[in-house]
Amino acid sequence: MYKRPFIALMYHYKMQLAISMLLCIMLVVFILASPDTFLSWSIYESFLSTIPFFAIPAIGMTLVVVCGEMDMCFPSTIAMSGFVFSWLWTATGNSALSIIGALVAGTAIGWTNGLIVVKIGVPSIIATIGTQFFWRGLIMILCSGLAIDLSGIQDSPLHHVFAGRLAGHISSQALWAIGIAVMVGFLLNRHVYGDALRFTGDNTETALKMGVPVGLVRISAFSLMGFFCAISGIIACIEMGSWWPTQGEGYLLLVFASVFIGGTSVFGGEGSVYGTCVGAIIIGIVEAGIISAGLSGFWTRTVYGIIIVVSASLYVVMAKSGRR
Amino acid sequence: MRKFHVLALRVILFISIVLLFPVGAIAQSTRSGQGMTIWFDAGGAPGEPFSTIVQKGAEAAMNDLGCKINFMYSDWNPETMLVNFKKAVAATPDGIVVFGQPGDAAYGPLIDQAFAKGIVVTSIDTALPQTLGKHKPDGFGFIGTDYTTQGRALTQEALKRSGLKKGDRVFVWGLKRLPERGKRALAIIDVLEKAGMVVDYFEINQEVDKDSSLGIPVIAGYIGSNRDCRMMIVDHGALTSQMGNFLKAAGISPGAIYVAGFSLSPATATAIQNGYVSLVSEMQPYMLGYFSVVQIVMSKRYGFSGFEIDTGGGMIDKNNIIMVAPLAKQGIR
Repeated sequence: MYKRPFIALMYHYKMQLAISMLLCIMLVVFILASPDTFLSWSIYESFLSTIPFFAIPAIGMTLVVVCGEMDMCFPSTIAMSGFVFSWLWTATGNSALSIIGALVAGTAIGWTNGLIVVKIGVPSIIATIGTQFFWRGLIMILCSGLAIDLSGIQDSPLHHVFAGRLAGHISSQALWAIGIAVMVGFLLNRHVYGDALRFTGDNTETALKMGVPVGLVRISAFSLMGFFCAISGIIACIEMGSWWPTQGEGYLLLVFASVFIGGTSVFGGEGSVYGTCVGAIIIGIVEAGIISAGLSGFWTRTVYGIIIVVSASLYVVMAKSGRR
Repeated sequence: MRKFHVLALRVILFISIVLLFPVGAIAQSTRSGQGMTIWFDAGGAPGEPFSTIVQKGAEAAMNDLGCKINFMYSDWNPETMLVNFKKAVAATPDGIVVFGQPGDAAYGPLIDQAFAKGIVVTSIDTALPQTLGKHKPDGFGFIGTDYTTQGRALTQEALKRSGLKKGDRVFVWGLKRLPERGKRALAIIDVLEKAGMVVDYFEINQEVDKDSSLGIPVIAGYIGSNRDCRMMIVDHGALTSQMGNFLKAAGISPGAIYVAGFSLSPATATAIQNGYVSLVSEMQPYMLGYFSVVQIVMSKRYGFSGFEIDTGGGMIDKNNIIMVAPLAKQGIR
């Protein structure tokens, strides 16, 4: 179709290019509006420390959405994993035990969600809304509504591993997020598991006829989501030096916005980890851009809305032109 | 011999009474709230620091007075508060404790109905002046502090202690959009502007409001563009508690910017001890919960009229934090 391979390559990655262009335009606008802030490294340092909090669950959510499901439970999964981590750390002081406990808790919650959806057949959006309430309620019962102070953790080796600063400037959590993105990107695009996810999300009947273990694939996507939520919960606790009962509640819009701005189809069957990561960066820099430009905080949601509508429209237009 | 039998019988009777009716039960039977049921709107969502401390105060009063409390949660939504109130009235309890945020116009007719049914209602956190004027003799009181007064008091104290001069830049992070609560941010801005400060106000968005970890880029972005900022006033308990982390991430050393805020938590205590937060105003929410339950029980049992108790004015800094910090861990301060 295309004589020049470069153009063919550009066409193939048009979604990724579009989202990258959007990010570049935003950065240019922010630099022009407030050069002091956006030409200084410190603002990017703060982005590197906070964007991973919701970028990591967003990467997990990409897998869930690609296989045609939805996980509304993830804010509670983050909070429960964070709680298990904090409780074990304050009770035992054992870092390895605390991390393993949190990862097991997060994965188990994801696995339970998968079982409810696959084995019982409850639609994922309903099942996970239910489990979100259940786990949040259980957290409140367990902690009596009180935060857990982890101020001592910021001097421990654990802090250097999960939330330290490489060369004093690059946050460890950003490196974790990049590592997870590369691994999941490989899984989705270069591994048979990624094909199984896409086939399952695209058409379950066809996937079954092709021999894809659809049930197992769906459960594994939820389990991986739980695992990534646990990593996010651990990192947030270590970075902030405390665990709080409403942890994760603010991530709901940010995670879904990151996934859908990134070009993952809401109908399943296709998605992009790169797109999700760029989507998370876009969502993560908006507020700082607004405040440093001297605008009121009332603008933040307006700009979120514009970005989501513009990016979604862009994808629809590109999909239509691709079909012609 | 007969005297011995009588004595033995008395001893056995005494032991039986002691065993069958524990002293605690006898003591409980005299408690003034015994047999009463109170429906209590805890204001926010379960687990929110402020609501949790209010609830703990109410639970302490419940244990002291022997009444029963059913807690409701409104997520700071005035409509949910009204719906919760209607549910509570339908259950015809002895008393209902409300956060007054929906205001007199919305609450007034509903509270009239509740009193007509013999339910004692009292308000905490936000005053309902018209309803107070009407039902004070029936036991309607107000426990809390005026948001405007609290905002003014903290700002005036912060200005006095920080030694800022006219023309200095101050960042205010608040929740103007909330009808009653927003009065505190407006009062802060008003005092600062009248003192000749350059005020940069920024509204706390819904995500940051729920999850304080998302506040880091806001502070980093603001500091990046406004290196001359001398003071930050944070009208939010959870964000006040994380100011140390926010400023550290923005490359600001402790004490370089004077930070004042509201509400105490273990993390806020750490931030005060680290020198990142200089002054915190506390509404003493534990007492909101405790006194409101006492109000209901006293009015219902003995017909006392409504009390007006100002719980504001508590200022915490590095001088008194050592005494207060352990109480913050227990959810009392």
